[in-house]
Amino acid sequence: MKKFALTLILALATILAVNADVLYLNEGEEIVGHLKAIENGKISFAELNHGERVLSESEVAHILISKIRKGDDIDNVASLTDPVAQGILKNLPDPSLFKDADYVTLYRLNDLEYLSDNKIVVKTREIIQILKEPGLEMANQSFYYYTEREKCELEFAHTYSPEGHVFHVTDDAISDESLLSGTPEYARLKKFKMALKKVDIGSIIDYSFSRELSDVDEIHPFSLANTFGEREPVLHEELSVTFPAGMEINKVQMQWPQENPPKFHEKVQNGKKFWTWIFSDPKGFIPEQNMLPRSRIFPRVVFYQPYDWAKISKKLTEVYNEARPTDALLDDFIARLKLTSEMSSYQKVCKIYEAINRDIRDVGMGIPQMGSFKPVSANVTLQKKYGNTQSNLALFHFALKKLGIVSYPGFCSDKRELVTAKDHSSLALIDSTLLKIIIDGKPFYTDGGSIYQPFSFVPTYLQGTNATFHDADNGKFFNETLPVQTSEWNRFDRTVMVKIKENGTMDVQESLLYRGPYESGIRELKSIKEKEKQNYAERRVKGVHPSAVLQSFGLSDMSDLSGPAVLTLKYSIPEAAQLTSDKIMTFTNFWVNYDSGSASLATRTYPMQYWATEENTQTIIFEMPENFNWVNWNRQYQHISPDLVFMSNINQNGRQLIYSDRFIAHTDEFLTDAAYQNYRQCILTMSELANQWIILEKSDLKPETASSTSEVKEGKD
Amino acid sequence: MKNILKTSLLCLLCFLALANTGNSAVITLSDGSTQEADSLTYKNDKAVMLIGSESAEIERNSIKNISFTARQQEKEAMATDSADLQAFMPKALELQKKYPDAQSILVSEESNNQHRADGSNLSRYRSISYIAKEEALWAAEVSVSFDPNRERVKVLHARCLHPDGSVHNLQPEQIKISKGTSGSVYFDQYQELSFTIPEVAVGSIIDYCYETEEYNPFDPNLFQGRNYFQWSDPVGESILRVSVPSGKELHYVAYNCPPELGKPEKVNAVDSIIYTWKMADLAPVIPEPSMPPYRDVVPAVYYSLHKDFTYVHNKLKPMFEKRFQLTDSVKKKVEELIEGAKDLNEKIARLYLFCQKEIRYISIKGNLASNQVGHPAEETLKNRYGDCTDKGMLLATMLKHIGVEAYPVGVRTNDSGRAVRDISIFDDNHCITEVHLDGRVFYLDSTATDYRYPYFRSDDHDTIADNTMLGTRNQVPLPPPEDNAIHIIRKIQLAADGTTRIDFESTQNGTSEASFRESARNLKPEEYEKEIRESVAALTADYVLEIATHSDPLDFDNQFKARSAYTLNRFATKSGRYMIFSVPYFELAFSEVSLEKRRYDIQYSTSRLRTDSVEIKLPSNFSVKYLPPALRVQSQYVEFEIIYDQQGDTINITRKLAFPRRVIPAADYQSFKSDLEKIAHSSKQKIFLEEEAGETTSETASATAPAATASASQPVETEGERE
Repeated sequence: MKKFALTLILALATILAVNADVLYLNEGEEIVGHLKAIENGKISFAELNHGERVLSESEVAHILISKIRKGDDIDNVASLTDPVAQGILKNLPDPSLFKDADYVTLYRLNDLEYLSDNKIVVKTREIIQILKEPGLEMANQSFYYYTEREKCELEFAHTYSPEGHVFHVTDDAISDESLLSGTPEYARLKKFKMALKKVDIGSIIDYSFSRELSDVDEIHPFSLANTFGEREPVLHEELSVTFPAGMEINKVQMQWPQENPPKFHEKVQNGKKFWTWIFSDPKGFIPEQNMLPRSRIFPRVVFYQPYDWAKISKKLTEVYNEARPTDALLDDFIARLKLTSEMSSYQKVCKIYEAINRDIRDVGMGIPQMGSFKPVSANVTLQKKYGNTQSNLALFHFALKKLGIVSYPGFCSDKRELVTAKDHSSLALIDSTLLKIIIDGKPFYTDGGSIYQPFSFVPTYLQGTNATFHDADNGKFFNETLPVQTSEWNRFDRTVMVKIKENGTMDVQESLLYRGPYESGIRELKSIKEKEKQNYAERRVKGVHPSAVLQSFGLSDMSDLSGPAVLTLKYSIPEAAQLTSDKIMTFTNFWVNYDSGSASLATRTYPMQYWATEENTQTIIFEMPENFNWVNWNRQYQHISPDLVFMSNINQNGRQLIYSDRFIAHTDEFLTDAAYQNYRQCILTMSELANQWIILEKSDLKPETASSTSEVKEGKD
Repeated sequence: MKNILKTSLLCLLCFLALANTGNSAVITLSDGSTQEADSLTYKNDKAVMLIGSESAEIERNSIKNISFTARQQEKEAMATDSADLQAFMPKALELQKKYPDAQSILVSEESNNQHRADGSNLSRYRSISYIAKEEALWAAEVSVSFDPNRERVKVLHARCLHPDGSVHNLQPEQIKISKGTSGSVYFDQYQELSFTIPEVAVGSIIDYCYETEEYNPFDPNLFQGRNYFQWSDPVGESILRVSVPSGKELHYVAYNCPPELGKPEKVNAVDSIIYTWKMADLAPVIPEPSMPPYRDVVPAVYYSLHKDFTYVHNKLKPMFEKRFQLTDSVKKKVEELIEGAKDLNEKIARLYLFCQKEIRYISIKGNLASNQVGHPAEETLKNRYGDCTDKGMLLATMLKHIGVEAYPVGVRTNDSGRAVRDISIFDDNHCITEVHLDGRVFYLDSTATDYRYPYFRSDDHDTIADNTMLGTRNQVPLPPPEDNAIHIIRKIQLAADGTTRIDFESTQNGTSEASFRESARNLKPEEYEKEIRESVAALTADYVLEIATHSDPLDFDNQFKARSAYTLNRFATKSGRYMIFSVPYFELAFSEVSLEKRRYDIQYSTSRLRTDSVEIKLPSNFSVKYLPPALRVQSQYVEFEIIYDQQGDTINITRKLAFPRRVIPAADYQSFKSDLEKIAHSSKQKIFLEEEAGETTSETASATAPAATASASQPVETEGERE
């Protein structure tokens, strides 16, 4: 243990917060010090290190007053009276114990108390020692809080220097900021930020703030999820929950390890129940490529106040009814869609979907940011032309109802989340909104989509997730697992025709078909100018080969969201093939670019996630010059398993050399070592193929009529 | 107490005040609410406000700000007369026909800027734009930033015209004033007025107009501004009017304007002179890779009351001097830092490093002084934070103590366009330190975090530094490519089965070195190794990594080095008796020459150099069938040479690529493109080996098994291929 320098205390240059007022003169100068008095048009201001000045009010634009917070009157560590800080500073661990750490969290407290079933107070305190330069970032703190329902107060923010001085945050380095003021119905969040003073390597920062959240109920539910374990060491983390003993609070503990689990304590005292988890991890963890979220790996506690689903339904029905647009506005909206009786229900639904995405600007505030499941009125959405996903889907729901098409507002979380409303009766465990629509008896789902996605595409982060839908007519909820439709949604197909000339030049025609998540990227081209599209295509072919020259390009109608999104490119690549002699020509398959960077680890410590299930196919047809034949690889590159399939072959047929491959990922999580090794083997096979060169050899003989890989090996030999 | 106040006052009003009424004040409370007092006294940490006939007392801790210049203002009804708006629809449709692919069209834009005889300033801005595509709907949201202690903003009208002729007006209560958001390291006193124009849809016209009155300017003789006439969407008409009192001269410069349009129409009004620039039918700017910033390519007018910088320098110089104070604590810190330094350069290097590393970047702005000059050196040192002006000031002050003449100087970073120096306007966006030593002037930038002395940030290169204290402007030079270099050495052992062992070493300097240092110090050793693994595995997942390390990124006495050693099993492709080998990470690509033609110059951040030295040991039973030819390219913009040399069983490759210039004019694009394409093409060329007849390749004849031979005593200066 290294003793903190308690003895070096006599401060010569300590800045107290009381000397941190800033006086701004009209002519542009500013003075730091302490406001003494304002009287009879005169301002007395004690300038730091320069004595008192008297100024006329007419000289001064304004004075920023720095608040004196708890402990701001203390300027040295020896004078600290707070027992927590005292105890920690007296028993500081030797920083050499954490030689690779950027900082060490000495103490963290999240102390939550339910004052009643609708009011919560959370006190947060952190004491952190900065050990390396990247750790200095911890001296800049910011957090968000609800504008209307939450009171937020910074109790204090101190820095303890290695020399034993104490410094305090000042209000010129504090900012309380509003988000989305221009769209007031969505201006529900504020951002509080601060920069702590005099933070060096070796300094300890200590700050505390409290938040009081009110009006908690079924529609404004609260939950807290805490994952123990992070990249940097934590010596003492304490999560504490207090609530009236008669109140029902549910807790979920998951991924509880055998070794070093958080210690849980429970007690009942004075009519209150206390839960406490205490955790310590002096090592931290080293993140791994594509690892599952921390919340799926490390010990985690989730707690929430359960509600009766029937009551939730009743309240949700009420708030949706309040959000219902006036008949006049809704009729006008539907009239503008120009729906006809010849249109099928599906076509009508697509029309509404496209109109909402086209006409209503998404402000990007999700339910967690709004802190409420009450949608903003559809009147606002229709008149002001902005909304968030929930209000847009609410409008969608109302319009469908008007047309007699059944739909259910729904809610869900990311597919990686395991604690969901399916098993826990609270909407607090939800962060996304959905709509389930029944068209001709078949279910379709949408998360609101975009102007670049067709109706009913479910984004990859929601594919396979548990969703909870509200059946308002029957006053109940029902749960479903959202579909995973690999081949239909997450798909990319490429066809390339390549004519190789004797001088190595290639004339190329390429066609790319995008489906699902890939579509947005290509459909965005509809919004840019023709010249920018040309530039895009030119850059794209240069990405295939630096010498490539675009001849022409084409796009399918990108505005037709139901139609295929296709890009075609015609280009030539001078000297694409390397002529190593008059009889040998060689090149890589420029369109096969698999790399194995994602399988860099021989073994993993943590489970791996893959972005989504998917299917991709490629066909590349080379037309070889006269009398040239392909030098057979004598090997095939294939990997077949239940989770992953990669199939490829290359075959000479007359003058044509035909390459094709297909990759299918049936799963998006590799939880065991065996599953990861299978992934790694597949990726290795693909990257080896990408590294393979194609050699064409000229002979005086007539070409073989059909030459294909004669020796077949599966995967790596 | 707050409750009493709240109930006793009239409702809080949203807008800011017009006039300074002497003893009156606007009090901002810690909860963000504001109170307007007819008079205010403050004593013993308590304020007493008189509001009408009532008085109220407030504790110091409940007050956030006391303003003597901000006054709240009653809501004003906005203009609803939209008679002139209808006439813009035909113009908009005509422009849309001409530019059918535009997302929106700025049909008309008018900026009127008036400098009044009393030194205050009034500007009025009107924008009329046509929404052609969904992507432009965001234009309905408008926000204006202002200083509430000096300016008031008044929205005159904001509305939307639909194709059917209906007009939808913004209502005053829909206008909000708040503290807007900014990045986590920025703190200032600005506020934001924001609103969303209702009913905006594709095919409609948005029309808004607001007025900003600077009623409390820092200086009644400082009046300046700028206007750009062209954007990424087409512009129908753009007008700039600037008015100054008769007797005051307006200086202006016009860039990228046709000569006839760069000169304003000048009209003598009753007591003022009005200058008008007017441009019409401007095509959209189509972005190109590595093009100069917009402001350097679009028509622009800059204006000021001052032709040269004397007035501004005289205004700011006392502020600089006040902050440039060598106090005891600054001296003490300098003494501590330079202790044991062997010479002056080492002392400078240590002070430079201290300001980079130990002064955290936090920007606190509030007044002309902190905006342009920063905070006193003493304050920055005590707080251990500051922005570019603060760091520039502190470093200059510290250097003063060791007898080195140095000054904080303003620059406009080269990624933000050329600074206007032909007339006097505030056009800098950054502050660095100008050092005068032994008759030489050079620059340091302590806003960076990882530069080894005397290197400095590349976006400062090739700019013009404005030195307020000396009243000079000097060119910040573009360093030679050797000052931003990466040197790579690879030793490669190739086995008969294609297995490849690579020993890689790189050294850097300048910006490249800083970038490597920053990246290395942000990773823990295990994370660094994982990153190298990812990089190697991208070549093949069948690899063995022996070494992945680097020199200490915090050792600024020595050049940063990285080294790695790894084996790629069966990496070189074999087909029949042939083997094809390419040096990993040897290919070069130049996205800046991806377009067939360019309209705009190519602009790099700075010059650069890369050298490669590769030694390849061939397997014993293979002969070289083909070696790529040497290539040499020499122009004023790029210098390149690659030589392949076979000596027995060894192939040596030496390659050098240098870009000595920062800007390649569009006129020279084709030759530059051709040069880079030749270079890129040559980098794709492979070495072709042939197995000698009669020999057979043993699958076991691979390169040295790395895990077995890696010696624990091998030097630890290594790294993977992170180029």
